Amino acid sequence: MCGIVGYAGYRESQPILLESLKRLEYRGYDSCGIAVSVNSALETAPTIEVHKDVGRVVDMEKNLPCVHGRVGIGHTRWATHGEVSPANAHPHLDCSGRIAVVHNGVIENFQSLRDELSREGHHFSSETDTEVIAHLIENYYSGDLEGAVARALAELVGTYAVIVMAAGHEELVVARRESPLIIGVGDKENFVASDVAAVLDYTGSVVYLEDGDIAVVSGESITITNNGDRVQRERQVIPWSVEEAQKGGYEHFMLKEIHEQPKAIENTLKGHISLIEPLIALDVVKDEGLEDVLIVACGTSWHAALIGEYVIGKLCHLPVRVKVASEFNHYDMAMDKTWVWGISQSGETLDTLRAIKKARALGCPTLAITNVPGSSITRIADQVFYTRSGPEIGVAATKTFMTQLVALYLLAMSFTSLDMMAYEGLIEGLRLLPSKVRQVLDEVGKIAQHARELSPYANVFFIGRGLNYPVAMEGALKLKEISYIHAEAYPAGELKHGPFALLGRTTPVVAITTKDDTYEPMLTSIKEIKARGPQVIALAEEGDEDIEQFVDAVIRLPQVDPLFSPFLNSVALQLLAYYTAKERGCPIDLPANLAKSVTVP
Amino acid sequence: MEGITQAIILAAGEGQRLKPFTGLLPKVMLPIAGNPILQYVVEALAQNGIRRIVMVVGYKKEQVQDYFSSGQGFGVEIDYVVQPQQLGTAHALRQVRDLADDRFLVLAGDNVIDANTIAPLVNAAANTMLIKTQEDVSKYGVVLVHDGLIREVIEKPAEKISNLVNTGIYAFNREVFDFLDDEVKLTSVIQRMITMDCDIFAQETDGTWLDAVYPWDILKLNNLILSRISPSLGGTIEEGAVVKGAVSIGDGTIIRSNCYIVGPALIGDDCEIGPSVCIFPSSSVGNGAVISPFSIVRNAIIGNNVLIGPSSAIQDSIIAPGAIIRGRFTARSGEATMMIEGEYYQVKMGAIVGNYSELADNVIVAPGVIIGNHCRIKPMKVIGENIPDGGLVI
Amino acid sequence: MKAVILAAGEGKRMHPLTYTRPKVMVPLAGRPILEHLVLEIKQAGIRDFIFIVGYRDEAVRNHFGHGERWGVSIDYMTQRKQSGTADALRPASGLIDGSFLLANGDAIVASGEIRRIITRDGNTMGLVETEDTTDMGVVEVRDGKVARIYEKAEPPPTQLVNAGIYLLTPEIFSAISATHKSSRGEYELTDSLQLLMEGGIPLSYEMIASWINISYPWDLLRANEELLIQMEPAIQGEIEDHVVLSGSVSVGKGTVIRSGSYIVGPAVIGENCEIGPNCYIRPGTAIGDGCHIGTAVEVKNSIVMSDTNIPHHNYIGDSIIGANCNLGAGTKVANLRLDKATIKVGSVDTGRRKLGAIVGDGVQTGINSCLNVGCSIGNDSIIGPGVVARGIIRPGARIL
Repeated sequence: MCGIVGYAGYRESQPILLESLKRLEYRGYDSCGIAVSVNSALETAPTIEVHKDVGRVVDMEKNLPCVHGRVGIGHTRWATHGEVSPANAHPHLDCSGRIAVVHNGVIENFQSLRDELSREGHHFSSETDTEVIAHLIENYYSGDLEGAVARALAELVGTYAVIVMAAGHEELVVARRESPLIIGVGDKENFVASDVAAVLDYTGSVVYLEDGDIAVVSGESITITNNGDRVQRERQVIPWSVEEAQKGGYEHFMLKEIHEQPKAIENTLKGHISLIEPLIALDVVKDEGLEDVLIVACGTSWHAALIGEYVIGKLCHLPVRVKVASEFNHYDMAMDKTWVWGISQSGETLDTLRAIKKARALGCPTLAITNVPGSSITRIADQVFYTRSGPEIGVAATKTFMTQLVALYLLAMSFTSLDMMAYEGLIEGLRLLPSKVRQVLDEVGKIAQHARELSPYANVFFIGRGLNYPVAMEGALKLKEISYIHAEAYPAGELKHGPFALLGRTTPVVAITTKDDTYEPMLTSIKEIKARGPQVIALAEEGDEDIEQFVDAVIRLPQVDPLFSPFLNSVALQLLAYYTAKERGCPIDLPANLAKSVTVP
Repeated sequence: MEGITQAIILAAGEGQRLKPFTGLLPKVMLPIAGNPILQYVVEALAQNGIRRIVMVVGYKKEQVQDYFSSGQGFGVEIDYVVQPQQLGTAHALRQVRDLADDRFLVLAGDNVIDANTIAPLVNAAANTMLIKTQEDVSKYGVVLVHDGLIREVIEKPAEKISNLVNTGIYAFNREVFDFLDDEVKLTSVIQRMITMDCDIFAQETDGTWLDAVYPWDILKLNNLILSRISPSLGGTIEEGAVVKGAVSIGDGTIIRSNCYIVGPALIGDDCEIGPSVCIFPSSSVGNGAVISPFSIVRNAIIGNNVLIGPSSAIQDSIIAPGAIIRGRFTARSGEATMMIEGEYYQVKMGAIVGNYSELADNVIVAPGVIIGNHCRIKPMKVIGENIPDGGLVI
Repeated sequence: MKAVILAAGEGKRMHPLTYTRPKVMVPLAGRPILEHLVLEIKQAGIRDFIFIVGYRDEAVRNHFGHGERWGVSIDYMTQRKQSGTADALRPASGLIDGSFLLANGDAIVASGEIRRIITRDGNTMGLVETEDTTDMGVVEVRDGKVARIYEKAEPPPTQLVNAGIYLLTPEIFSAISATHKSSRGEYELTDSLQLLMEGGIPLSYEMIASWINISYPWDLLRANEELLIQMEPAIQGEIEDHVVLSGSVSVGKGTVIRSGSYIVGPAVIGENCEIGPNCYIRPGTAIGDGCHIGTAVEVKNSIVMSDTNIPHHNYIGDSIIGANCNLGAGTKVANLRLDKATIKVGSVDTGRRKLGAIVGDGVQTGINSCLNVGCSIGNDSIIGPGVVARGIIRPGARIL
């Protein structure tokens, strides 16, 4: 899970590579590097100059000599093979130092290739899987770079997006298999990157490469082949502006995106609901004869799916199963009349893409729920529901999670068989959601106060029941990923089956209470916990006076139909995680070891 | 000599007298016809070529910063300076000493002005106070002018000594910082400058200048802004709906059959209006609002995401964002005595409903009553007196 | 010599016509504004063009390609962020070796005037004398040289304004690198020129008499008329019997003018149109490619863009109708107030007594709908049957 960039054109490549890499740091940033093809003034042969280091692009930039050259590649790394060190940072060179490679993905057979290449006399200077690609290309290279790359790639097992350059070549050779790669089309210059964010400053015109594509990219031309045949890939115009993806006054993208949630929910709902008619109108069609729904997703999207499972179960007569996408691939069960939904914010999550492909292979109709138009998932699923939350930059998903939930509620409600009165109530609930979420955001100061109390601890438990159990999981995930506090989520009733052993004065518990049939059992759980010493912070609705006597602190949330409580609880837990991380001085938008779009298996 | 290119906007105040609206917002962020008051000030400056702005913020400063950010979206560059405690206008000005140009404007962020208002100050070379003729001068600082110079500023005079009032808008040279000392109010600084023979020129303006001090001022400002909107229709307007005069309807809004809308009126994005709703002049409806059938709205402000049930009548009233109002709600206009911060005022107006309050069916609110934020009122209640924030009427 | 054309701007004041195309691609007399300019520059002797594109650049690229159709060569450069004219020019330094012509793509200057500019020595700016200098850069001259350029000045010190066409030497690129952001937050070419002058490099000027500059959509109508009058008539389509063509009328390839049509020039009709039978096209009208003007339709002093249907019983006067529109039977445009007062669009007084509708792309109207004087209809809107459309209507609105 790394970011790669390449440039070929008429301008100095170094500043363009650095700027593009900065826009990809959300994909990984433990180390970085660039290589530029240099035409020496002394008429000796052209060479490749490489600079790499551990840390962020800005840090590398400080000590970087100015290198002149109009072709170059760059990489920002998130380690998969080998520790974080300058040697393991990309680009990697072959033995001659004349071929440079950057790579995103995982080469599964790299060890055997490496052993073989070593026997043949190749000298390796890093522990990475990527370096084998450089040496393989060297083996086949005799002037025809594209041919050599094609032959080298044929030997690889695994996933890759690669950009290759060679001394004396004006062109880059790029290729992908199951890792994202795009070409930004400019004038007398072209850009290659893992994601459009890297090229938006320079061009809005983009070609998405597909699996198996090999492209030769120079300043003047782009030629793409797949399996040896010339192919045309359609150019797409990206509607997002550079400005749309910027921080706009907030200290972190995450905080900005948390505050954008009311607007994001409005956008997702736009055109789909009417309170006065009342009506839910979606373009998604359910095929006749489907008997159940299976949702596949990863990470935060998986938590959204788990909440969706409760909601669909409650509102529709449709059995629902939810599977973590990577597990689905090891999953065998009757799926004759199953509708498979895949949820992926980026639409590029490899595990989810594979799950959808598998479902299609099994003959199941598929529905993608995603935020990114034109992403891979939209091209393989039968139907698409766009969450329309706008670009999300912060690594911790916030507004995209919220709009995935809205999407699942809308879908559940459009297939419901409830009577009109109940239906109207639900539509009103949706309509009022943005306003209710704003109310939570108005109380930021109070939540920040509770975060201060939470920040010194090393372990935190989150508990919920019913449809707020997945909310507890999401709350724990948010806290883990940005504040580095170890957090566990449990269904409240499960604590007594083991985890009680861990409870004590140093393990605060965040308890989500809901005024439905889970309220009384939750109070019982809280009493049991209190008896063992932990501090308990409860999320409770306005006007719930009883809760005060059982807990140490209460985060108050507006009253809503319990069915909609996950929205408000999630926002409160996002804020709690954000301010805890801030109190601890963590790098919130770029947490250690995490990347936004997970495109490796 | 080049014109002035920098302005300092005092935007730190809380606006105690504008409760309940200022419970969640600083005064300068109060929305008037869809935009915060402060935006009108910023736009007036930009139109005069003054594009570098220093904002002194304090109370709920994040809201100002979130909205205006770097100023890029408004064609200006904004620096923020925090005045942690609201210790008066002179104290606020003292905070920006290091950032001020040789010559600059000082404005209050809570006055609605237009480009013409400040145009005469842009080329002012000397210290100048912008003044304006007012009918009722009782709530302002009245100025005595002689030979084009300000001679005296008298706050809230008991007798009418002049029709000219201080707008609180000034062009200053840096020397003003030498007179700040530890004064609290800018007007005292002015007085001190006059006594110490530092000339303050008077410049009268005939442009718009209205300030928001009391809740009913909000309706006046709304009227003023609406009177200059240009009509534009978006969304869906169903057959049989009548839209007359200067009406602006946002994208995604649906106006159902038999609605009757007379401008000036502004309806935001993504609203559901009607069928059979009447909206009469000087009404603003925020984004995402729902107005159910057979309701009538006249000279009123309906905030974002407000929900209004069927057969309601709302006149000369302000419903703050997020309020939920069920059917047959009545807020009629009438003569009322309103108490604001311990003082009584005789006004003609309807009701004020705070943010996120929920009013059940058949609630009637008497003229001049203020219902705070987060209140809940059960069905069939007649509300004759103010309800504090979070109040519950059973 | 090369010509660099600034064609990156959106032209917000030209909405709704510029929601779907940059300002330079708005058509006049059957061709985009920019095409007129390219032809004039070519006539003046320049064949190598660099277009600086940005907003909706696809529209420019798709129309011009590399210029083969016009016998010129066109290279493109992209300015993604609208950061001013100097910033737009900055990357062109690598493609330019000597003096070059720089022109705004949204104003048309006659070839004779261009020739005078490009035969000068050293940096030269085209100037126009005009009564109304609103929103234009006013220029002060002394001893045959430009003395000062004002961004905006009240009252204007002179009546001379910057025509947006220059002969520049490569010295400009070092001035551009030294230029700071203006108070508008952009890098302005006029600031760079000012720096050159302050550095002792003189800026000459050349007065321009023939200059077509467009600020608002209704400016198109007069410019359209002016250009139509200058056009040589050419009939390339099929004219059935009993068609009357009088005055200068051009008809493009593949177009059929059916019996009973009465067309009075100056008028231009594009390619592959179907005109008539029995329609009346009056002077000052430009109809784009692939349009259908049907029976009992009268069109007068208007611009109708490509692939639009005005099929039956319509009256269109003093109007601009975007591309891909479909007017219902009986949809008519009002173009004169009953009180004969000048017409406003939104809150802007156009100064015109006759002005119909300004209709964006993809608008559909129902039968017997009326478009009132000065109404501006956003693209992809729907005007229902029998509706009277007034004022400003936003894109995508449905007025039923």
